[in-house]
Amino acid sequence: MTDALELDVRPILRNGGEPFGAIMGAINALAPGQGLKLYATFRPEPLFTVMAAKGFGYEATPLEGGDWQVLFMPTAVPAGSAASRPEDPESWPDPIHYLDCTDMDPPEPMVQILTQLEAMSEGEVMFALLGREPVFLFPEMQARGHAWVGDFDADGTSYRLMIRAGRQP
Amino acid sequence: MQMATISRWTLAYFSGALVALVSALALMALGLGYPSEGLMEPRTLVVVHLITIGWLSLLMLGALMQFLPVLVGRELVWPKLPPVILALILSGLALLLCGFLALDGWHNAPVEFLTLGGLLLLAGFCVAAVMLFATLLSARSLPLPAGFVALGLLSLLVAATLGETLASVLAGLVGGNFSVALVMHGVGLHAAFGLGGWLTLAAMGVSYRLVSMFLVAPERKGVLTRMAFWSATIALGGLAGVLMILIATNASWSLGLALTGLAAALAIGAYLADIAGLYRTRRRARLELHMAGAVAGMAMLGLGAGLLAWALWTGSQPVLAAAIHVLALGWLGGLGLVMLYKIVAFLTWLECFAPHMGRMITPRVQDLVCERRAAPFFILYFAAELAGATAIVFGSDVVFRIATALQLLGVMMLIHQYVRARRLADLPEAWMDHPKPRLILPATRQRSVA
Repeated sequence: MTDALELDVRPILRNGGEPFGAIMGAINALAPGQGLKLYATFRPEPLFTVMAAKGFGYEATPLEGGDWQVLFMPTAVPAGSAASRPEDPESWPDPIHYLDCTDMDPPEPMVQILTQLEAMSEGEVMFALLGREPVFLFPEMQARGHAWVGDFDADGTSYRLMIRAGRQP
Repeated sequence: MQMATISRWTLAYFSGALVALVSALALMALGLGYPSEGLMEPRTLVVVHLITIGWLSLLMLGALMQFLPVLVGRELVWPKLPPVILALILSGLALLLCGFLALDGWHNAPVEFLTLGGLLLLAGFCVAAVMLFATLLSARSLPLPAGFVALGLLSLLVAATLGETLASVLAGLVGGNFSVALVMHGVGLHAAFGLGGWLTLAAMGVSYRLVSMFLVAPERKGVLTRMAFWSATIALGGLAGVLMILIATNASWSLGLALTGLAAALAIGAYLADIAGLYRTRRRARLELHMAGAVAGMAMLGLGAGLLAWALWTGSQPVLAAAIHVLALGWLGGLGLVMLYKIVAFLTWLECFAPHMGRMITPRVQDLVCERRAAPFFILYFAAELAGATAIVFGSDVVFRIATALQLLGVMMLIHQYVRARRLADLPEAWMDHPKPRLILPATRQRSVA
């Protein structure tokens, strides 16, 4: 399990600012299954409802000087990834989509794979066969939170790529 | 992690390269340098170095910074260096050109500009070679095309060092028998390491991967590919031997030169046959414009090599000049212009549409260009190249200048096409309002978490 992301909004609050944007930004940056440790100058009651709607439970602890530390943890694991963790391909379920991109000219394989991934739920897995290592696809998949493993087949003619879909925005 | 992103400075290298090409062609059309003046006259040297360093080397370095990571599946090592290298090469080139003009007494400029410019160039090329070598070495395995690039980078270092030594001789800083021998025999070696070892081998390496990628053809790993590579290695080894003998004895080594020539001819023959095989085994029926244009470029390699062999056999200076013209502007320059046509569109497409893939209908890369409009300018360019080379062989200065002016026109019109692709000007109506990228420096990709 990844460590909880830490976010201290006390400086924002003390300067009279509004921390909601920073908190939502942090939540969007969480990896699947990751928690958020929040520091605030008060017990952030309104946030608990918002976070419950997003599938997070909380554990609020008072600190010295009237500050609070709240640990938000995801309560329900999203469907389809009961035991599947992005960082561990062994735990992924079997692919439900197969794409043969060996006859496509670049960048068509990239377009096809990303289009397919957009239609998949988090934790679902697809398999693609390519004529070469799709080096331009990797940064795009990383930016979108997908996880992947890939290698060349024994005679080095096709590249096999297994992708686990990340959380949809 | 094995991935490649848009190289931020590649388009700046390409822009600098195109400015140098336009300047060189304009100077030649105005009658400066060969054939109006001698082959070793200062103004000929200005034009030659504008083409080989300004146009071809900047083009190749910019392309390698983008495609070496693709070739080896690793990100560029030390990505902050490309602007430093560009500044070193551009300032070095400017000083070198002033130095050549100073030999002619231009504005009483000091001839030491030659040495200083050569030094900056040497520094820039060394940093570039180290950066690209480090990227190559970070790969898990080196495919054969990467081997060509590695040989090319080694040759670049030799060519630049030899060039700097020649510059010091011309500036009068080095004297004695060695300097006489170097001017007699070293200039050819400098050109062979630069045009042959560096630019031609690197172009072969890059084209192996690009051609197979764009034609959707299986990578070449057969006898011909290995023959091309090992013959090129032997040719380069022979050239290095000739250089060693020259340094040690101040004399030329004809046996070594003959060995180099044979091995080089074999390498070129194997490479061209191998590329022909790539075209035959392609899965795309229709050739896109850049792949059709590449055929013209490759044909120029065969023609240029043939002319070179003829010139060395007969000792004819005009034929030698024509051979160099065909190799530099037909083969390397022609291939460069046709590949730019695809690469600029591809990089622009990647920059503008990769973040939207799968989330909206994205145009095809081909939609960024208008092949029907560009095709006549490629034909003009290559036809003018043939006319120019013929004019050199037959010694017609006027025809050469007219051909060069037409070639310049072709280049200007092609630059216009590249700019249109960058500005998304040829996209179908559905994407007319898509935000335009910056012309030269692409924005760094924001890693959106959403």
